[in-house]
Amino acid sequence: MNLAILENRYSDLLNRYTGPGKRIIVSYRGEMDQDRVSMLSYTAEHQLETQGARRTTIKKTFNILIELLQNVLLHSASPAHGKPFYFVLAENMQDYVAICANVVSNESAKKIQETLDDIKKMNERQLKNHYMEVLSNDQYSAKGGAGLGLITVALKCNNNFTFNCIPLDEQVSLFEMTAIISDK
Amino acid sequence: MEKLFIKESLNSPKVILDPVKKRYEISGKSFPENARSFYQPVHDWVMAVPKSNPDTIRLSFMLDYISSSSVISLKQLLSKVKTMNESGANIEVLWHYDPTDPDIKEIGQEYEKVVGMKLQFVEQPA
Repeated sequence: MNLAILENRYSDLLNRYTGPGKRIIVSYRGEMDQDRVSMLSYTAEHQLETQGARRTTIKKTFNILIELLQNVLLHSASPAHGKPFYFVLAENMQDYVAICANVVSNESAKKIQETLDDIKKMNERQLKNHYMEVLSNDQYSAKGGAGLGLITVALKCNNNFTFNCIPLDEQVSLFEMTAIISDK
Repeated sequence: MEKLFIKESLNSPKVILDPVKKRYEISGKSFPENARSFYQPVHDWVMAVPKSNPDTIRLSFMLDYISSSSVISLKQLLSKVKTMNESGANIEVLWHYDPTDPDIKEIGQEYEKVVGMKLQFVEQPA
């Protein structure tokens, strides 16, 4: 598995969000575990409070970060290599940008892409209806999820997200998701 | 009914289910790594509530953040509460929310629709 791609993309992101009107708020590359989820989300929350972001923005961002980071924790597919991931929260003019990437099986990558393609086509009302349908449905996975986390991210960022999957070898891909949170 | 106490952590709420003191609360932030296993003892506790209990159990949820996996586990918990009440137990659910934060109240309202039970909403500023 070629993890150099992960390292290169992380470096590119740090460069992309450094400059006039841009700033890295929190960034991390390493192995994922539950302590990292707490550490990164609380650090981000504290940094946003310190710089005077609006309370609703802080809350939305915290929500999105927990969902993105817990997805990494629950759905990484690299037992032989741990759970490598990177995470960047940056300021970009009036927006906050949360980017999270991890290694997933190609099969999972396909499913996530299909789910996100469907979510992306929905307006706010359709998203909310979809959320309620999934919540009403008792078909949850062994890990307790049902795609509710991805719908939550979409709702919190007003469907302003992008994603991409880069094959690393025949078994796994790097899955990267970017959510944009407006502080206007 | 036995007493159940779970200490609060950075990512999981404090649970106090104390029949002696008649104090029944779940409070804090809820985003444990495995919500299903975290809430399992609470599910078991609810299932052990006597169905002919003369006392009303007032179960308070005072959560200020609930992750999506916790949303699912709590929905399943409330479904169990509803089932137990239909079998004779008397558990009232008090859903505390900060009026400046619409998320928590909204989750409670979603539970009312999805589970089909009434919650008592309690406004509680942070």
